[in-house]
Amino acid sequence: MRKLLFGLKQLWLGITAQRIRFALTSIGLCLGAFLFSSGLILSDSWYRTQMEEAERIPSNTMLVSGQNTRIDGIRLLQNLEGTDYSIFMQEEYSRTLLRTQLPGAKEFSVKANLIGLTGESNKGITKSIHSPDYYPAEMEIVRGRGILNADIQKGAFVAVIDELTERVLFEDHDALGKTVTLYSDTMRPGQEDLNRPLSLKIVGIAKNSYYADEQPYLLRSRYNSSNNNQILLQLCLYVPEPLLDEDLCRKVYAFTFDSEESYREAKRLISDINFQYRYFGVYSLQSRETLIAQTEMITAPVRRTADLVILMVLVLSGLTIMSILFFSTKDRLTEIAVRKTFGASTAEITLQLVSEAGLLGMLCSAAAFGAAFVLSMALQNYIREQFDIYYHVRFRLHYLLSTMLVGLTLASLSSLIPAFYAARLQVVKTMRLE
Amino acid sequence: MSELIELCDVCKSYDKGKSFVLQHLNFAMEKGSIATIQGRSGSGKSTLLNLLGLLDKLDTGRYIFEGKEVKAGGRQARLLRREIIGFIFQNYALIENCSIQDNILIAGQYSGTDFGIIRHRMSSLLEKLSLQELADKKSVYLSGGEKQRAAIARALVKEPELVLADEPTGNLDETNALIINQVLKEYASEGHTVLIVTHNPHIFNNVHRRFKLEGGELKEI
Ligand SMILES: Nc1ncnc2c1ncn2[C@@H]1O[C@H](COP(=O)(O)OP(=O)(O)OP(=O)(O)O)[C@@H](O)[C@H]1O
Ligand SMILES: [Mg+2]
Repeated sequence: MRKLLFGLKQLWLGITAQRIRFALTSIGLCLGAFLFSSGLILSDSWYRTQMEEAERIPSNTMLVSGQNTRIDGIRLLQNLEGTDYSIFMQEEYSRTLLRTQLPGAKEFSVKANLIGLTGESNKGITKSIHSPDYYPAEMEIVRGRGILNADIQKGAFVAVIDELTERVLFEDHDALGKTVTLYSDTMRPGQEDLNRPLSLKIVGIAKNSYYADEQPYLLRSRYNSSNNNQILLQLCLYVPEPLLDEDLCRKVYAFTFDSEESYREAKRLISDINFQYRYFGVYSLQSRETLIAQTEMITAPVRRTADLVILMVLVLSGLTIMSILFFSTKDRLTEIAVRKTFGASTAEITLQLVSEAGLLGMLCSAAAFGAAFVLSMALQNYIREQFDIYYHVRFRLHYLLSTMLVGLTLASLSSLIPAFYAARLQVVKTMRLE
Repeated sequence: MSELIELCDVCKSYDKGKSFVLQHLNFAMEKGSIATIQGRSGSGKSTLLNLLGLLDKLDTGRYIFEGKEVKAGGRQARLLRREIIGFIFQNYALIENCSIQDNILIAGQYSGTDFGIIRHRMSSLLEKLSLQELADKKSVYLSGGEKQRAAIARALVKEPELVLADEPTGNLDETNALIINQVLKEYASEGHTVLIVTHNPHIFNNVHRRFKLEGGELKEI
């Protein structure tokens, strides 16, 4: 035990024996490990965030949409045995809510996404959230009421907004009973009623969706980057389906199935229909599996490229460390000769030198991990804004462990040859050099 | 008494046989004896000691340890260096950025002796060589005499059967030289074998045997 402690102390003394070598190899190791670590944290966090999104979708649910959604296929699905629940949503299309000129000559418009509801929604609203994924989310009505069947049949001019929208649009944060007016963005001659502004009475306030906090953020990033003269905020309004403009909407149907079997049956049905109607436009289907597959497809090339770049940098830093170690063992020659005189074998000396490097590698990589983690956290918002890559960084033990493993491997491999070379020295010759 | 080590008909040259340093040399040492070797500078004393310490290979001839032939570079040689041989280099060969203590303990790192015992021996050696106060000092800051004493402590700490000392009093003043003389003699009197290469034979007087290396051959004087 005491021998072991002494051995460890010797390792540390060996590491720090020569300051410049210590500094240079540390820098090399830290840089290599840092790059690896940040690459790992970023790509893994991105992947996991995307995956978590996909996995939030219940496995028995699917969203079906088509370019000009044909009702016949939908009817078949609706009548399928085991179809538990089906709602029809029209994917949000937006109208302008507010358009004004900001001091810096920037145009500031608030757009409203209209989400048409076809079913009663007094308890909650089931909505397909568009970005960054599709899935039905239940939202509670916190005040007022939801959209009723009567509203839908009549096509009543009512709307439910979420808390965020209420906060943005109404200074007193009380929207109930008030009116919002939406202006059409598309002017179509001869279709006056379509171009008419839409005035809606707010009858209920819904709880924010899972993404409410992200929404202004995401939207700002998306629109800011493409058009610098415009700031666009998009808010959500839930309205009875008949109020939506048929031509501008893309219809999305959400189905829930009560069993795995009926779910699979429906999938088969859709692919049959798609085959039959293959020349007339097909249904696209989105479910947990398709999203997971899609996520894999999108992330895989990026991750693989990143892996390759990291690997190359690691090799490069390994070679650099190797050359540093090759030419900086002079100060260790006496020590190695002495150790050999006292009976150390070449293997033992090699092991000692490699362990020194390995220990340093682990320490450096632990530090590099810390830096990479902090940086990834700090960059989170920036990357989201600039590249529209959406991810959460969370601490995971395997980030630290694999970074340390890489540090250890990098250091050990790059020190192996120089160590062996140094360990093979001949005592007598070395002592003559003194 | 039996022979501890023997060299039989040993030749040693450098530069691939161009310059012969030792020629057909025979040498033997009994267990528990103390001997000195003197000779001109360049006569091959260090060369001989390196051979005896199994640090260098013979050109021809045999190295015999307790009746068995040993080859430098082999496993057997390494085991002997671990446990049996204590080597004191002409140039001290202390590791500069280590303290005296650590320098000494390194000798114990490869021996099978319990580390606690090694530590215990180290403190008594430090005391004997009046190095206690310097125990934690880095060896690079030591004076020549202090370095030499530390090197001796390092060679003796694992209580080797055979001590090979290359000029242990080389550049030392009288006092230091006498301390070292005393320590080595005391060590020999405990039944160990000690071979000293020296320029000042008067310091190491009344040893069992004295040799002179001349023209690649060893003569007893
Ligand atoms: N590696 C080597 N290559 C070539 N010649 C060598 C080598 N080592 C020693 N020599 C030569 O061998 C001879 C003996 O050297 P050695 O060091 O054994 O002498 P020494 O008796 O110890 O001298 P000193 O009293 O000065 O220490 C010298 O002439 C030296 O130049
Ligand atoms: Mg010499």
